[in-house]
Amino acid sequence: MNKENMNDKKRLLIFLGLTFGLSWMWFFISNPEMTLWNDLPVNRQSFVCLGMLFPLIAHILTRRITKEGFAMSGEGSMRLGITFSDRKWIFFILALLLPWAYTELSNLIAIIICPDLYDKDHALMTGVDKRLIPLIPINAIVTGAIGSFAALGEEAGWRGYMMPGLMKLTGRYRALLIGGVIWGLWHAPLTCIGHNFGTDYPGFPFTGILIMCVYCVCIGVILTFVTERSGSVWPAAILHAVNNSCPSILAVYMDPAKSTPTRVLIAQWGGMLIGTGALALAVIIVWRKTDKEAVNS
Amino acid sequence: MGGLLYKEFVAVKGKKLVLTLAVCTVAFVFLRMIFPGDLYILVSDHGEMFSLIDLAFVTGEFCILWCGGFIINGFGSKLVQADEKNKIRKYLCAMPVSKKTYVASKYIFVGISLYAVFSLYFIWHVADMAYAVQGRAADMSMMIYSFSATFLSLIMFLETIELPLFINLGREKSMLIKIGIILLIGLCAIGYLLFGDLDVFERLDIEHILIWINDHGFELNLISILSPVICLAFYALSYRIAVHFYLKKEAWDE
Repeated sequence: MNKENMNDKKRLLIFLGLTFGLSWMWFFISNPEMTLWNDLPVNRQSFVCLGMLFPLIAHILTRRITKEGFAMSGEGSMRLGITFSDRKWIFFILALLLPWAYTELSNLIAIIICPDLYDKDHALMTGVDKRLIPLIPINAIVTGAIGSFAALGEEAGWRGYMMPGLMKLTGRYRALLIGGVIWGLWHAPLTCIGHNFGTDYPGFPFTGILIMCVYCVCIGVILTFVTERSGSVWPAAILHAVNNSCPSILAVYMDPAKSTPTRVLIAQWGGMLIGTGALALAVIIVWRKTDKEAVNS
Repeated sequence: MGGLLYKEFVAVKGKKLVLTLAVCTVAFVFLRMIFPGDLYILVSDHGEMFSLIDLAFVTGEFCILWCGGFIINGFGSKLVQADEKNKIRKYLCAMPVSKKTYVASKYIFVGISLYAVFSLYFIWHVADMAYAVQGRAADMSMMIYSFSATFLSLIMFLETIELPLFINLGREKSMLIKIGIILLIGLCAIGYLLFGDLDVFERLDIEHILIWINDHGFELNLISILSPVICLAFYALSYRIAVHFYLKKEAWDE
């Protein structure tokens, strides 16, 4: 058992070494001057984001090094197979709709924390066609699902390789915590150039890295849940991609210029962490309950 | 299902295709980083910038989308041809595989291929645009990008029509029908050019069309958002139809 644990640890370390090494190398190669995110042209930002593919590449390389094989589905597999039996299709629907629900919830909480953020005329001032506003979530869902390959790159690594390994070594809840922190730290080079939260906040960039770790733990719970239940990384990839597309109608009515930067920051961070945290908690409760039911039956 | 998908992968020489595309992608990204657009720029009399290097890379970007789309369009015929040649349907008769699963494997394989081509194209586009300078080549790249999802939806729509034919009628008959339809369209076009009212083309006002596009931004946005969803719905419907007719066949083999 101990030898098996050692092997699992070794595999995990190889994977993490490759993921961090390759991804961070990419972040530095694609942005060698370490230009701040907002100063980078939009096209260069997308190029830097191709680094999201490296967890998948590291996963494949690790399997090649450790000779684990490339099974698509089942125990110890890459989890790239798809099955809709046993109502597993529900997780695909959830993956499409959940990000919309928690993004709106997060924005609603942000508005409750800082009511000045809400401006019903903001959408008109930014020149958005009023008829397009109800289509924002649908657009985000469609573009997210079609362009989910980058998110698949991350999920195939984190949920497809790291989480099963961590769960085997430490148990589910510790794995969720450790996995989230590792995932948050992986984002550090981007957080340091202001990708996630900008640069104008107290304790930059360390506070940002910390907040990112907490956020990744919360989102990681949801992503791991859909992966475990569906037996595939695809729902997690879709959820991740739709999440990155920011499917929110409320966001169009939020104007950060209406309040002080500190209040806006507290509202946005608060909304984000409370919204996703609440959902993560709900997922854990459902997870525990269904586990108990499975044991009893 | 996994085995069937692997069979399709072998039938289209997938390993070779994937390796070639992976090498091309890495080479494209690497070359783009070495040769940014601002290396060789022509400036017109009106001050308009034009990068020849960007143009070369945009051509590559266009090729991957265009060729990828048409290679996938040929998958339907290739997959059925391989099955006919190796008598796969007879072999599957002795395996615990339902007819529904067999049909589903074709649809899933083509769907995955389309997703892979779009993903690959997206990588090429992102790499290209990251080092492009503002100008006509970059505009062209953006224009191709804005039509990419609709183009691949169109390919999916073509597969929606072709796959049930290939699966139920076999390669030979389906190809005859396909060629017949193409010839009919061609003949109609020639007939129109010979005897039709060609003044229509003279009256064609590009500016008017551009104004229409500008005025109907919402409708066009709606189409671009919904076209993949509508095509996917048609694809699912086509699968149902293909399964319905395939189940009616008494024997596995034709």
